[in-house]
Amino acid sequence: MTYQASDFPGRSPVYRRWQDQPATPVGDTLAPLVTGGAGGAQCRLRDLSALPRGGLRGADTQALLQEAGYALPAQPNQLVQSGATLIARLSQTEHWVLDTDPAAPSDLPAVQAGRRVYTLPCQDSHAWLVLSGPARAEVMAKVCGVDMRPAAFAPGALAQTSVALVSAIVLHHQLEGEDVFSLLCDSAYADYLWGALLDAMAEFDDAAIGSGAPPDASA
Amino acid sequence: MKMLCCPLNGPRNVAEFAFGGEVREMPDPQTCSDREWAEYVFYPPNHAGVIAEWWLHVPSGYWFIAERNRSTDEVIRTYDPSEIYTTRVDFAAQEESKA
Repeated sequence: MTYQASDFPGRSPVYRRWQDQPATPVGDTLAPLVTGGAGGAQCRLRDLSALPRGGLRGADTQALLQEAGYALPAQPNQLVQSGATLIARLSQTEHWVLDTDPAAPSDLPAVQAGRRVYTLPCQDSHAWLVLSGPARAEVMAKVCGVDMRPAAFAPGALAQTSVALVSAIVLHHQLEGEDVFSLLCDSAYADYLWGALLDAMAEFDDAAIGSGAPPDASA
Repeated sequence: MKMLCCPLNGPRNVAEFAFGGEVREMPDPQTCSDREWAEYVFYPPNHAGVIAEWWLHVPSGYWFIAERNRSTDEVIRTYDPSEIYTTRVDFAAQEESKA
């Protein structure tokens, strides 16, 4: 069914692209769920901005997350995927936790006073776009200086770089059984980046595009 | 394309970086004269030759130090600031006398 964006306190930064499309709420956030993105498409773009995520930074961050049972990446610019949860390590001490299943959000451990840990709320500051399909590395080559072919940028790799002249974090991980690139960019640039990526994708196929939360999230 | 090697992210297009001025020893703001503080804040020495400079990798928000020859624009090495700055500096606000 078609929802009114004004009915929801939270909206994806790219919701205007989908205002007239069928949409699915994820919690109290409007997450457009658009069909398309047929199985044979060379590249597809989706918007997962409504899904939960958060970050921690500071000298005691690793100890705090390990006590909470998270498996952490060994080096900066790597990520670990356990089930539907991604743990991305952005620097020596900065870690982001992202959930691809909105039904089971990870509870970031509470920060006790005196511990050198600072919370980084990135739910609303960053948009979360997902580029998938066999041509995803070729699409990225048009807008980004980092080599993202599988030999150089394997699943589990993370790059903080400039994508279509916008600062973004690119994560290579699995989503619904296929390798995908997740792009996290400033939410104010999300609408521009969405259009820039569609433009870069246009030559690879007839831009079969899906958007929204994973289908099981609509249940 | 000009490249700069970020200690955290590896070699990247220089367009991803922002210059942050020369690395200089900070005088103690509580005890130095206004003149010394103004020299520190506003008047970098601007020498030719090899200078240590602050650079920011913008997409990751990571500050590091690059030793660069300003005459030849050759970058000698880049490194994490923890090599130089090993202790935290706290800036205690001076108590203003109550009128």
